[in-house]
Amino acid sequence: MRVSKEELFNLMKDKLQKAGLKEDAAADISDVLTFADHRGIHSHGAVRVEYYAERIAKGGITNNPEYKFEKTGPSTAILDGDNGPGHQVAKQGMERAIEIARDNGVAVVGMTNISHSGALGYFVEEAAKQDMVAISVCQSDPMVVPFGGTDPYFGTNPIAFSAPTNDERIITFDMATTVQAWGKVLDARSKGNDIPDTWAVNDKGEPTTNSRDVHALVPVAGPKGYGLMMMVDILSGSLLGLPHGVHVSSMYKDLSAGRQLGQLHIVINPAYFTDVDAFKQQLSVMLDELKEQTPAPGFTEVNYPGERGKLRADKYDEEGIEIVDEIYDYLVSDDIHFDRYHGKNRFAE
Amino acid sequence: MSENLVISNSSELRGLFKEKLMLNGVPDIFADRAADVLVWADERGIHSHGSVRMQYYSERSAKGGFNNDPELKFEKTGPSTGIYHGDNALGHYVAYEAMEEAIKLAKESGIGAVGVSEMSHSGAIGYFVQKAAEEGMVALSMCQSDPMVVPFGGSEPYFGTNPIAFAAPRKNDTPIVFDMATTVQAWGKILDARSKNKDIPDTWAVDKDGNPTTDPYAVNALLPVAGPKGYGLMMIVDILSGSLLGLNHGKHVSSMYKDLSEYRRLGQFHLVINPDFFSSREAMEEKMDTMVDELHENKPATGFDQVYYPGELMEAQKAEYEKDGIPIPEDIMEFLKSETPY
Repeated sequence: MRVSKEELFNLMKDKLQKAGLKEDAAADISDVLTFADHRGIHSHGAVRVEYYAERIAKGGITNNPEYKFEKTGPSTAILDGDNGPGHQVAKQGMERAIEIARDNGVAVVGMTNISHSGALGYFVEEAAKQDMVAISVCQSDPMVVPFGGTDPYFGTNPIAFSAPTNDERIITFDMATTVQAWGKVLDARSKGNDIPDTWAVNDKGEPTTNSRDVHALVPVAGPKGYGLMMMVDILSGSLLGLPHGVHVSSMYKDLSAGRQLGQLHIVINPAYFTDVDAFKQQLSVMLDELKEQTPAPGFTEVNYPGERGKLRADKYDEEGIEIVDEIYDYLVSDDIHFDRYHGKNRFAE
Repeated sequence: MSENLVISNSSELRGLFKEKLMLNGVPDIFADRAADVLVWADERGIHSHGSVRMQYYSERSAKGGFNNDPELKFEKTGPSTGIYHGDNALGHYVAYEAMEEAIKLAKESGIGAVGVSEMSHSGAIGYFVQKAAEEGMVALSMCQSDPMVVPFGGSEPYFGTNPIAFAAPRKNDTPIVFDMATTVQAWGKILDARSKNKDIPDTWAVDKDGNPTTDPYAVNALLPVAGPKGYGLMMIVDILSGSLLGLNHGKHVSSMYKDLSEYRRLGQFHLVINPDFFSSREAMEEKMDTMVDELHENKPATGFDQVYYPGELMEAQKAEYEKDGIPIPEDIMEFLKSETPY
């Protein structure tokens, strides 16, 4: 099914409102989800609406949250999300961080007690659009073994980064610290396919190619990804006084409870370090130089982080955004949810 | 390179490193700091950043490739930001002083974001973040380096091995220190393979056409770790420690070996976060202890005897070396003990 960006945004917003959220929250979530689908990051788009709707309906996402913003110093702040929708809290947190960085050179804002906030690229791009450089990290439910271990300890713990250029290009980098996203394992299961032996392990911590035998994901590049995910968990969990590692709440265990997740934004104002125009110009030059490279065998060109998402967005603007039929049918229906997620083992589906 | 090793210890090495650097014109306090950073690396088994670098640093100093009479200046630009101008002095000293400034800023204002502008190679950057964590801070440091790595999908070297280091304080033990290059493997491993005439795995490096190669002599560049992920990470490092500070970017970063009489003009970036501005130092340190205990209790996978926390093996190596001594290549030791400048 092909839908326009506007239609997708409105369908999702309506559904989330019907589930119990106020319009502004529903709109903010929809914004972040549309961003994801628009760039082809379908794992973080409309596919998530049914789960969010069920969680909202059951009270696990606060439908009338009282956010509390506390500035703790010239460059630091905490935005408590009252277990409201992470997308909205992270959006507001980034707006505050940009303001603070504009006036102080750097901002570090922690978002506490939020639910899942969607694709991090959305938030860091907002900063780049205002000539800032931004990093965002967030913890997530434990699905990944430590390097050399067998019990899931950390989440897929993504890291996102964005920087401006002096043309229409925005560098947007967004990576999970696992080898592969959980969605890819689900995808293989649904098709009865094997997976590469580098993605996941069984309950003995041994690499497995059997998508039904997966006990946990593995960190990207072994000890390196393990260190990076630990760093993310510390910055967005322990630093903010939130549960760490294995204590982070499960996505599906109890949809009536708040997730208590954490996220951290770091925004750096280039004006406090160099000349902003020269900085942006230098990044444009860097991207040009990368594009001029002779591609390696098997590649047609070198892309910059975020380029493929941008190309996808342009294509979808012409042809409409590709949405799975089932998801579209759900969005246009009157159903809020189907009681499918509560109590589900995160690895079961 | 000789395979013969001799046994030394931290204090002997520190003395020898310092003396040799001073013999080549490095001022006392700079040589002192550099010696400490080099010993830190060897003590932890990061031999690629220890004594093996001494001959190169010595030669560079003698040929005027560092500024041994620099005008060092910390420029505070805001309550939490600053630029440490290194005037192309020895990176180990400059990066350390800059980290001290960042820690000060973080203590006062919650954050210290300090760019280090124009220095030479600063050594193993875990050293600098550890210092911050020893004072109860959470710290990140990253630095650009000479172009040796192809971008994902490309065939020409563009970025450096661009390491990222991170540290967090613990209540009852040394800080957690994690330090990684953003390549699959360090350049030193290629050199090592060459010296032993051994093949390398086909995931480390590429030839001049950008094809993965197992021949260490055919290597033209390294590969980013995990393809597009490492490529993105090394780009972040280059932006924050290069372009953000108005320094050279990517392939324009100076080569380590091309001209030892020229200044390197390298950049580094420190970010220090004070937990007291978010929760509390005490609570953080306790949590870190708990996390480490839990990781230790994690059932090891087949082929592993236990789970370590990221960076733990460095401390384990240090403890071993404290008992058994630090192995140093014999020819390097001979050089260090000799009167030869470089």
